[in-house]
Amino acid sequence: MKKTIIYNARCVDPETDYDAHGGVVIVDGLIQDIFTAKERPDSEDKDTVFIDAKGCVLCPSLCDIFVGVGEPGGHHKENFQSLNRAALYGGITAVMIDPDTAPVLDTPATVDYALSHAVKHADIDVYVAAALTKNLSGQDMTEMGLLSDVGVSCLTDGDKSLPNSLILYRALSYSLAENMVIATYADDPLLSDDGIAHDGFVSSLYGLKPVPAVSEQIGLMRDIELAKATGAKLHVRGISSAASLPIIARAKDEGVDLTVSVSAQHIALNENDIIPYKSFLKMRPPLRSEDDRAALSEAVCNGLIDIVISQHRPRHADTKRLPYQEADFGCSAIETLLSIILELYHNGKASLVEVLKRVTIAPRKRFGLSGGLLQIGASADLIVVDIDRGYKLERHLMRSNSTNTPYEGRLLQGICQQVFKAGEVIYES
Amino acid sequence: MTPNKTSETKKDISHYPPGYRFEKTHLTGIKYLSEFDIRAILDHAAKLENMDAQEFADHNPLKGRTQINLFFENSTRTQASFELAGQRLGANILNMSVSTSSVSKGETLIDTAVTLNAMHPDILVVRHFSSGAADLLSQKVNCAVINAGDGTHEHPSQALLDAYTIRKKLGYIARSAIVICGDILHSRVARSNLILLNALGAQIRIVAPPTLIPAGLDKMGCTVHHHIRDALDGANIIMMLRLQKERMQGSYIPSAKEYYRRYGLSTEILEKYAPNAYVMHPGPVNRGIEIQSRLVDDPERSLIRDQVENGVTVRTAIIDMICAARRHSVSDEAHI
Repeated sequence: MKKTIIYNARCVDPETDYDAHGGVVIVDGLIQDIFTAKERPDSEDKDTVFIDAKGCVLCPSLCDIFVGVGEPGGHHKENFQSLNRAALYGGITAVMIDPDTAPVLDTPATVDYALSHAVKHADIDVYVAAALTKNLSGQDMTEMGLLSDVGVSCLTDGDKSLPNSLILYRALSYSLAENMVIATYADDPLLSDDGIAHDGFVSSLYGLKPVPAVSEQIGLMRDIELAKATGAKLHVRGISSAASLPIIARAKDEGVDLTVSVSAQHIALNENDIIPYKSFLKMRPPLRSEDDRAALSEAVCNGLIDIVISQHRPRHADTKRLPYQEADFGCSAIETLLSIILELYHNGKASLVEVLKRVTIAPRKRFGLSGGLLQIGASADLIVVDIDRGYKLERHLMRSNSTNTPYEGRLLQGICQQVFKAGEVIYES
Repeated sequence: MTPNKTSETKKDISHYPPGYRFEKTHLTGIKYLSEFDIRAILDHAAKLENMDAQEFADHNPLKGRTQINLFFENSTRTQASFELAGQRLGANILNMSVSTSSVSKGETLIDTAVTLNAMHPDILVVRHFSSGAADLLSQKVNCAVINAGDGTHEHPSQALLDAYTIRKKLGYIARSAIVICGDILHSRVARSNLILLNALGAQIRIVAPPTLIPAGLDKMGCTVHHHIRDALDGANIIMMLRLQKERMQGSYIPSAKEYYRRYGLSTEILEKYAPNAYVMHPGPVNRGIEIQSRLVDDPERSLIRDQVENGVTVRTAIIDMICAARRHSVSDEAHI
């Protein structure tokens, strides 16, 4: 029997809104007890390991979904070892990776390959969101049933909208039989027309091809209506505009089985941050106006937006150190998810429990992944975070293979001190 | 014939309301038949089957009559069995298929029908790729129209021969548990069977991917499942439907392989979940796609050959009864 006691911590369980000073007793990887005593408790077992959290927050580890990785096919951007390092630094022990690898994760065999590689090279739990259509072509649906058999619970074509409504309709319909979540990117590709920046003042002034916010709303409305018609489970990934929020609220009121996510970047940055042509801030969907950003953060705080994701897109310098127009989309952001979401708490917008919900229990619940609980009987997948400690983000210190961060030089708060997985310390800062 | 005797005891005997007479002068869909019409056809087929050779040889009410088989789609078993059925009743048969007719020169269906009608046939057996083609023809010609399959609408003679096969094997249809598995959306056989078996009180379970299930199926008196094993408990009959090749590559289902895993029927699944069930298939069979090859040939389990055999009998009964009903209606008019 292996017993660990973490004490002198601010214990937070987002699922039950629990937030109290005390600690937890971990026996053989499971949480056996949660106590509220301030002092270090006694243990009859002399082998007990005591860990003083020094007043830091002890909460379930984070879960990030739709994470970009370069394995297979792009190890230089990110492999499972580097992803593991970066995720643990950010307090994340579960990731669901996107299928846009080379080859695409669209068959049980390629998914199996990725999963077996992940097990070999990463301590964190890796799940796969497999492709919705073969080779992400937007044409023929993938073998959902056989993918479900290898443990896939979500299908997505990445940051790519399905141009053909009939195909999405059939895919949503088919997903009912396998009880899967279909994650779509809300966009009307003909309307967004390969635009690269928000259709606003900045894009006009800097001569960047615009993406109107309405292209997101049209895509969103279509996807929601199709989900409503079929009764399927829909997740709309990475929304970016304030105008999408009432559409989401209405759909949820109507009982559509819908969840939505927003990237940390879209609640931390706005279109002005791309000045002057910062290609590291080029992302899909684009950073929008300050009003959009403010509305999205509010929606995260009040729960209309269910999940906050890092939208980690590791990109090599070759594809990022280019004129804005030619640079690749996306930022390396898995390391900063925790600090960015904590900004909402530090700015007094929401309680700690509320902000942690969006990155711990919400994604796991929606996609049927285990963990995310600080409750008796749950697996001790926990992190100790000094939420107040500040630091300045420096690119050259990043752990990911790709350092295309949009937050270079930003002052951030919240450092993950320790990460426990099944009661074992797998990371210490 | 001992087995027959046992089934005789279980047999659901048809009781007709007083004064009932089969009065249908076309057969374009099961939905136009009453429960008693269906029973009357099945009973008449049983009567024809039990006739001895001499009796049957004397039964040729269609002597001197003309039956045209007008097939706009390819067919082996349906066309052949309608031809045999007509011959048994003494009719002259004219087979027409699209490739040899003026349709290939651009003639419309109605023009073809009017042309044929001018030759005064008595029976027109038609198969067409458009739903409703048989109904349209029945309004335009003077003879009896028998639908041998129209688009994704109905295939009434197939449903009748399936019901006949089930009744012959089980002795009853009411309360039997019948699984229909496959492409329901595009299947005229499934539609006709659903209506017919429902009318006769069977308990129907549909198994298909959600993309191959038509809307409103839940209102047709059946349960819907998305994995074949979920529907097999206590099943008496499992009807497998053909999956067309063009539906296999991602538009309706992801792949033939996945389809077979979820919806395919094998001896192993049958042994495990429905050890007493019989298997049916309207043909032609895609071996290894919807049904294991070995199972198709299993004489203990498969009724596929029985279906073909009964097809001739049932189609003979259909033609016989419709022609009789037409004679009655003509003589009724004469009386007036």
